Amino acid sequence: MSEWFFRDNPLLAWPLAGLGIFVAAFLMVILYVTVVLRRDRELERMAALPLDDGATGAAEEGVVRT
Amino acid sequence: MQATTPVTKRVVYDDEVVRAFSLATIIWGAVGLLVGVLVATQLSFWQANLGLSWTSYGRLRPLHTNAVIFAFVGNMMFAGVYYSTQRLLKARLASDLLSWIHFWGWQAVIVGAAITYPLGLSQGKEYAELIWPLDLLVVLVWVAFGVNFFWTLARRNERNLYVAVWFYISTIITIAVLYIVNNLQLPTSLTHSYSIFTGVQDALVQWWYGHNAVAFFLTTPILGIMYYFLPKAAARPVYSYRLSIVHFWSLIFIYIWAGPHHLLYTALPDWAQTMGMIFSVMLWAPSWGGMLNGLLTLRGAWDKLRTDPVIKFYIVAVTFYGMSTFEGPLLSIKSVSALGHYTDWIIGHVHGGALGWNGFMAFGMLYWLVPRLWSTQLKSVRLAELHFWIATFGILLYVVSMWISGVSQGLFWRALDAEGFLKYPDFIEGLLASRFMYQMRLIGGLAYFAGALLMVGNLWATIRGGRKSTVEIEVQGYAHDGPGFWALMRGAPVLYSLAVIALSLVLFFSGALGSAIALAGFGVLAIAGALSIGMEKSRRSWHDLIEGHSLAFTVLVLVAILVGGLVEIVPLVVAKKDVPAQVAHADSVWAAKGEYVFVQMPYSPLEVEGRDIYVREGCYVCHSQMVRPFRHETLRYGEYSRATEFIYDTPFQWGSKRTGPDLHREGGKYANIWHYLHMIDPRSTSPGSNMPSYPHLKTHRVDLGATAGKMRVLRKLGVPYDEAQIAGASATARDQGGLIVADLATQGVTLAPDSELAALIAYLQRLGRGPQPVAPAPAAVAAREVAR
Repeated sequence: MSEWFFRDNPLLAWPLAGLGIFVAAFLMVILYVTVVLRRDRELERMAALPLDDGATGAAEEGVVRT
Repeated sequence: MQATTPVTKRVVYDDEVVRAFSLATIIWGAVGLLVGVLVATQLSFWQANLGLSWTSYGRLRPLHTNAVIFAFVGNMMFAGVYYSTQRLLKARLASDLLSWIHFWGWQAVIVGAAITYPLGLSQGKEYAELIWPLDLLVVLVWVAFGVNFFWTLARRNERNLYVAVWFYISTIITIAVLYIVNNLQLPTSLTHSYSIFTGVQDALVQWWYGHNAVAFFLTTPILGIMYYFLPKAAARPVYSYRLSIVHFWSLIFIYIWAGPHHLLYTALPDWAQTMGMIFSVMLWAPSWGGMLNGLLTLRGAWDKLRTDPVIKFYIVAVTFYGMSTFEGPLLSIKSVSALGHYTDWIIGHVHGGALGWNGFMAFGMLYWLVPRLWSTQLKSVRLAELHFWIATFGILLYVVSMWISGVSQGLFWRALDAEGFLKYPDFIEGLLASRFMYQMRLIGGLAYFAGALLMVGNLWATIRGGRKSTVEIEVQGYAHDGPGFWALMRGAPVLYSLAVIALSLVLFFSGALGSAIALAGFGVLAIAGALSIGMEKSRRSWHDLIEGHSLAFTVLVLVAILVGGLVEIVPLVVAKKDVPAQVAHADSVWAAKGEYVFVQMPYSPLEVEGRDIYVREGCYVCHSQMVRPFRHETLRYGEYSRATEFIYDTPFQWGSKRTGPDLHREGGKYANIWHYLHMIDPRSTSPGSNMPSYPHLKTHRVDLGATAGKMRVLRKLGVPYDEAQIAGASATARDQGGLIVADLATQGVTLAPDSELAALIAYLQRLGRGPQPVAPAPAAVAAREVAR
């Protein structure tokens, strides 16, 4: 099928193959994060990790020596 | 499986190097913007070139772009990476020595660039102009950065890697690959070299690098910084960590493929252009996913927008990110590119990204970070607010004026009259029409620069009022309890991804039976995937496990970027086959060798030297050498450009902007005296031109003693010079220069045959005059020149 379709310029199959790979991989990732990871509590902890380093200021971040 | 015993330990963060990078960001940011204002002034007022060789636009423009990208954004990136990585991993940077090698090495690179660019020492490739010794220094510094970073990952006290760290990993890995490949070169002296790639291949590699320098130097690390500093400033967790997973993997996978969109309608093979366009358009999805994730992180904290300048800067930055990542794919659509490419639209797009996204992120980060690093409060919130409004006004004025100017130029160049001929045959008319917008751009740039100066003063006062802080925390080490590297590599998502790639290749590159089998395979894969999801019993998901294994994560990132990179290597090989140096015709008057002839004559020794001067003066920043296959371009410039015409061009000089006209068919279009007068005073031949004058080319002499050495290096790269040609290079060059100066003497002009101007004229007269038939200059242009 594809041989006939691309007989005038077989290299044009490359961008379409790339498109196909990406679309399939993108759908897989979307499905993975929405289905497999939907109950993953670790994600909530990770989402808040920047806030978990002490506090917002250097003085509150831990022991501050100057 | 590794296992460590959790222990409680105290960690003292290394914020000294973060302070150093922050200060460097402030200083180099001001310098880069100042040079930007200077080059914008030169475009409006040519006198601002000051009549000096080392302050001409062609030499200062690379200084501006490099200073903003590598000095301003680079230092900001390192400050942000080092600050956030330590806190996200709850570990001190692994090596103080490597941190300081990184810092001082990077500053040495910047100082080296600031010295070499005005001296005209350049590779002639955009954003990769550094000469080879400085390239080596960049590689060493990057290795120090990488070792320090990955060593810190190995010593971390946090089990999982946060999304910001993923983006940092992708930056370090990808920039290393891109920089090394694009800078493969053979030196001819301590300050000069030739790229090992030529013509089409060089163009493809350069824009594979150039585009991904934007992607992996100006985008991914800044996204990492966004994912850390935006939640900090808003005091809210990231809106959706799931979305960040999709954002990260799809972004790094797609970005690497999109480089060819810089080469639409050029001599690059059509299929590679199409691939670049397709992947660029697909970039919309992950880019906007990331933008929305950033904006929605502020949910419940929008009230801070009224009072906190940091949030203001971040919001505008993320908005500019969204706008630029909408505009970029739009410009990658071939029909839009046909209008926008080579115009000021691209300049507006680039500055929307660099000043709007990167610049505002940098300002926001500095206003947040500096008071904390010096354990004090920001000196003046009002001044920061004023900075925000001035900078916003400046960037908007800049971008909008470039949009108007760019679209006008595109329409102007392509306008045809009722008979189908150029409505505006004189290129200079378009430049004159853009002058008002260039002045608006200058005002916008000045406003942006003025805002940055306010920040410099404000932060300096803040630092003076504070004291350096040292942060010490108590952390619990963690026990690595996940599976090993190979177990993760055999995980279901990896296997499914490999299966999808294999089935896609079978689908597109096999016959009817193979395609049917591939389609059936996709069905089987979907069913197997659904079943395996239903049977998922693991306590921790595969992605959770991979986040906890830095080596496995890094390898997967490398694979993701190499897939696109390797597919772009294929056109490199294919293009080489499509562009042979010899063809089976025997009717050429130039170089018949049996039944084969060269499709392109190598440059003569004087033309080699003239080309090097063209590269040195940065002519490519304003002139393209690529006539696209459009009627309006062939009418204006002559026959469209072919891949075979560039096989000896190293580096390629196709350019990306036309402040001046295309030069690919310049050879033979004008007399030698025209070129002489044009270089001494461009206004004498082209009234209204904003091109710098080059009087120094008349007095400076070419070192013809070095020409043979250059030709030897070029021969190694495939240029068919024989030993006699190389041995006689100096004499041949003098002879050709003699012909040019003899012609000029008939017009009453005296010039030395080994002057740089004679060499440059020889090169310009050669452009576009290979053995292949070349259409004469358009009649309208020729008639106008005769009238002059």
